[in-house]
Amino acid sequence: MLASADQKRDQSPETAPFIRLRNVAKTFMRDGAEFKALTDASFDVGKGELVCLVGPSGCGKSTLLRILAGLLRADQGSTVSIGGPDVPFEPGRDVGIAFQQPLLLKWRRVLENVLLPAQILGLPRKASLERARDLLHLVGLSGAERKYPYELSGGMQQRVAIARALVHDPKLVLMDEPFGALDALTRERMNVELLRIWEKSGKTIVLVTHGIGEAVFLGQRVVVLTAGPARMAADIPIRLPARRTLELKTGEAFGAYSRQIYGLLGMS
Amino acid sequence: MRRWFAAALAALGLQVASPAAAQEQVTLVLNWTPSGDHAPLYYALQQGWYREAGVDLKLEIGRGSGASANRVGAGAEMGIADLGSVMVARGSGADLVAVMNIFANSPQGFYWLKSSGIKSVSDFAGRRLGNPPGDAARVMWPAIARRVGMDPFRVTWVNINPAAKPAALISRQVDGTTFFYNYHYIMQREIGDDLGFASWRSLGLNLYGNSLVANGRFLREKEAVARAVTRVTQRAYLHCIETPAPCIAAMTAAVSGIKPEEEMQNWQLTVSALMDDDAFRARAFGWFVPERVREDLAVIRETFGMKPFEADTVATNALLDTSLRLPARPAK
Amino acid sequence: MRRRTLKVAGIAVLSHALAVLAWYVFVKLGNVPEFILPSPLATIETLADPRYDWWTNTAATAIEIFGGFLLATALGVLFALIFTWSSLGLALLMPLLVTFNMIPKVALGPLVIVWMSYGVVTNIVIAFTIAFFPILLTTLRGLRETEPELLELVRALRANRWQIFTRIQLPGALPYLFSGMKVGSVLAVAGAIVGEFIGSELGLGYLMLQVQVRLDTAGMMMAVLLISAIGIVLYGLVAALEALVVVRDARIG
Repeated sequence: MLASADQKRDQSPETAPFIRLRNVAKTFMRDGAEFKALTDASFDVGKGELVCLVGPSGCGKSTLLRILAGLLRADQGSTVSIGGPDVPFEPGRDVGIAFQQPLLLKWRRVLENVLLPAQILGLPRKASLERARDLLHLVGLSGAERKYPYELSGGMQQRVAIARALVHDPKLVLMDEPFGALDALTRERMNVELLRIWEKSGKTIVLVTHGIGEAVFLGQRVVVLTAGPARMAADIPIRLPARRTLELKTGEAFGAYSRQIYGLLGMS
Repeated sequence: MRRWFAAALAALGLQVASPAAAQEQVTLVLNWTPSGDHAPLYYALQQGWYREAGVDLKLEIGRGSGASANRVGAGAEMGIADLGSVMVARGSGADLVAVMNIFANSPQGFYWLKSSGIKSVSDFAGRRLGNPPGDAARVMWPAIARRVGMDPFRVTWVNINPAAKPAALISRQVDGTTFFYNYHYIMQREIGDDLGFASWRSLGLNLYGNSLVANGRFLREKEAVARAVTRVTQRAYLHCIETPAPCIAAMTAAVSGIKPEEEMQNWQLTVSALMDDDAFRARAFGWFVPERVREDLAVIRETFGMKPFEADTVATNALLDTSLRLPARPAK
Repeated sequence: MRRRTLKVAGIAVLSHALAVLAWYVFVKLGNVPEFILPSPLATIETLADPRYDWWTNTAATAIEIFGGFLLATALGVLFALIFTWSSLGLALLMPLLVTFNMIPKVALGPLVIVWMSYGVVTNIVIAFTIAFFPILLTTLRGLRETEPELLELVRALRANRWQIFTRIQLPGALPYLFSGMKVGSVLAVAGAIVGEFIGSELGLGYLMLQVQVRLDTAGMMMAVLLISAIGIVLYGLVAALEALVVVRDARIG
């Protein structure tokens, strides 16, 4: 299934993928010994897709994310191609990141926090301010511009972090377990929120998660990675309705995907 | 600063007319914070006597004779230090000389509370005495103990800051301590009849006390200046013995925290007990009797390990004005 | 919030007033001799006595405390910045500073007497040596304590060292700096007084020595109260500045 999808894509240049990964591997030296964090990951991400990477600890998903962010360089022989002639991608400018912890600057108010990437990149202030306000509205925090982070709940802070990841209009948004620090109910609510934000903004999102349910709910495709050794197990397209509600999680189709992934991870 | 400037100009062959530049700068380090026995210095400063003699004198507050002797040895031009401390400093290699005697009689004395059962110094055996390690009394205790026929090791020493001695004795934290006789009035006032007292003089240890001292190199290179300071100081002491009130007033004006009536008591004790000396009358105010200096040095040697030197190198009468003497004792 | 601050202040004033009252009662009822503990009245009365030169001596000690503190803050922050920017500087100089900090400044006293002349400047230096190290250490820690993932976030945007330094490290270090400054302010007071005890001819510490041998305990108490007042003012200024500059949630100690 993987090969034919690839062949299909490779044959039509007008649908060339936004991100193309082939044989991506990453080896670290730890205490003099080699440690293979990632071996042979190969998949594509189309423009505007939301792809989830799911797997246990040590499967290399965070490493993969950092390679996409430009923070790590993949080993020789890997192909990491982001962007193309019709979708220009400027590394260091077109990436927005959100981590598990919101990591907001405590001494800045919410609006100023959202502006941080724009300031670093030297974007014009007036336009950035307007964008920041719009994004805060998008994530549902319109009245909170002048608040300090400590005045917000965990979920609200994470929403600010998401707005921050979008303020400089990046082509690619990377998220590393963005809801991992939240309580279960807030997490579910944020899942719905993220889908809404993704729909409205049309961004390409690669999201790393521990949660199988979350991966299936959010992703248009789920890439499953396993550990020991770290490698890619499958690239599963998720054919669920475009408009997703939490109710879906109780449905048969959802369950089937979850079972498939549990099986791949040796957990059933 | 001005000295450098004047020197630079002089080197260029230019004269500087400013009177300040013509003054010799002399630092005089006191042996402690100012008290009545320093009054003549303040008086002479106030009257401009040092300035008239071409000296710009600056008094520096000290923290003990050991410290002031070290300061003078290290380069301060002059100072006040107890002669014993001068000898010890010289024995360690410091280059300083005593040029005028002030306390011709030892100011040291033992103080105790009669009610603690002590009748004399011999009763100090097994008791607690309050003196810090650098204190002359503590260091010289073996010499003193020998002279009163005591075993020097039967006394326990308690470290008390010199300024806290009266309080420590009065509150019975210690059984006894030593103190300078010019402060006797404080002990008297607070302890009254219960005060037990024995001066070192009465115990046979009449060591010379505070002296005006000069740095050796300063003395060799600028003897005229040292002489000028010494003679002004002699004059001032004699003047203040005759008319003490203006001297105390001069000190009170210059120094904070003191009561004029108390410093007057301090001064009077100094005059009557510490500066009452035949050589001061017969030869000059501030005279060192060579025989006594030799004896003092021998006692100091008993107690301290020192490089040997001759007694006549540690004290000199050469700078004194022999016309300035204590008036003859009034016939009774 | 204003009302709450007033309430807290009011309670503080009240508790101090009660303490003074207890002091008075204790001295009167216990028949405590003047030289051990003077009554509050006798202590306050010394303020009216001109021979203490309270203004001059308080000003001298205040200059030593504030001067030493400001110098410690300026150099502490400067060295913290240097050590953050240059790891070579850190490796070379830090061990020396640690050793120097271990030397008890009081033990340096007798040497100071032999080398330097006394004065307000010398005491500023002594106050500085005691207050400097805590400020340096806490500021340095604050500059280096940045979450690694936050650094990754800005590095992904190719933020340069200067941007990271000014936008993230420096503001993030401010709560630590103020924490260090509060400690430093207390130490600067101790340093100035230690300096005055060792060698001085002016100041509240000097005054204490001068009157101590004469058993003027009332004067000594007043001097101690004034020294404390200077310390409280300095600490209060630092705390007030911190309230202005550092977000409440970020304040440390």
